[in-house]
Amino acid sequence: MKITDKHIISIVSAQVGIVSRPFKSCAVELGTREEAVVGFLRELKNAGVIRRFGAVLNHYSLGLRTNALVAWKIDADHIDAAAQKLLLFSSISHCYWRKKARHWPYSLYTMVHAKNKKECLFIIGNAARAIGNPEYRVLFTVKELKKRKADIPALLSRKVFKKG
Amino acid sequence: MVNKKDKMLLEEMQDRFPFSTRPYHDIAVKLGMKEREVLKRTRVLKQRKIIRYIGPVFDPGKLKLVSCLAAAHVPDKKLKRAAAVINKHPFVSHNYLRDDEFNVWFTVSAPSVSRLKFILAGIKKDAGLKEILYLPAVKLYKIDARFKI
Repeated sequence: MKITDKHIISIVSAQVGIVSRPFKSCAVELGTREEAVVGFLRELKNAGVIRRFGAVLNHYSLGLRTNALVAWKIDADHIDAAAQKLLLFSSISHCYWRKKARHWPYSLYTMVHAKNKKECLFIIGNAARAIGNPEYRVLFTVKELKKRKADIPALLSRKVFKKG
Repeated sequence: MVNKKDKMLLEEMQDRFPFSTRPYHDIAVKLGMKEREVLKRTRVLKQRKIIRYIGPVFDPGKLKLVSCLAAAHVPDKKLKRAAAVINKHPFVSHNYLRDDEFNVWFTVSAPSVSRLKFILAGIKKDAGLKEILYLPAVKLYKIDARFKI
């Protein structure tokens, strides 16, 4: 199957329906076989374009009712080492080094998930000790104002996407 | 929260969703269920919002996109308007209210850095904000929003 922009955008924008043959409608639309759609998705996964494929779960519904963004103030020279220590915490789902901003001296960012606020603060306290108690800021999530998949089709101009 | 069969099913669907033309059938075979049962349970888990969606999670960098975290201090009386301005932008994927002086935190993706900054400038103006913190990633250490069920 020759992959065109139309193919790519149709395939990547489709969620997997909860039906026996979820790729059938996409294949029909593209005038190809289901195997080709699945094969292309697998190719994108192997190329790392798709980071993971499957069910995205709602942690809130699974009992992890509290989460916090923790911003750590750490010198550039020590960020890698601190991040490696923070990665050992299974409650940390995201860990990024980010550029500082004016009046905002924090450079390492982690998301921490827990059952409740007390547990969350306990984990953060342990994490802080593990990296030598730097200055940090805990930003509890109060409300999800928006969360959805990025609008990939809207983001992808023909020029932008390079396969692989 | 979820029973044992649902737990097994969620683990398969989250961690090992098959690349197959009949993925639910393959999961059913593996778990010793009927495909019909897998489909029924999955639909209920989706209705209960335990499953957000089933599909691909992209690496924006591999799609030649740039993204950033952004934050703003929004006074209570401006919050509704600011949230509406931010949320309506199609390139904003997440937006959270947090308990800090900088209370609104959102992520934006775009085809270029200049476009990203242009979007942030537009949001700042339309939402009537004094300042938006622009926090692009230098390095990604971990992103794995998979959870123990």
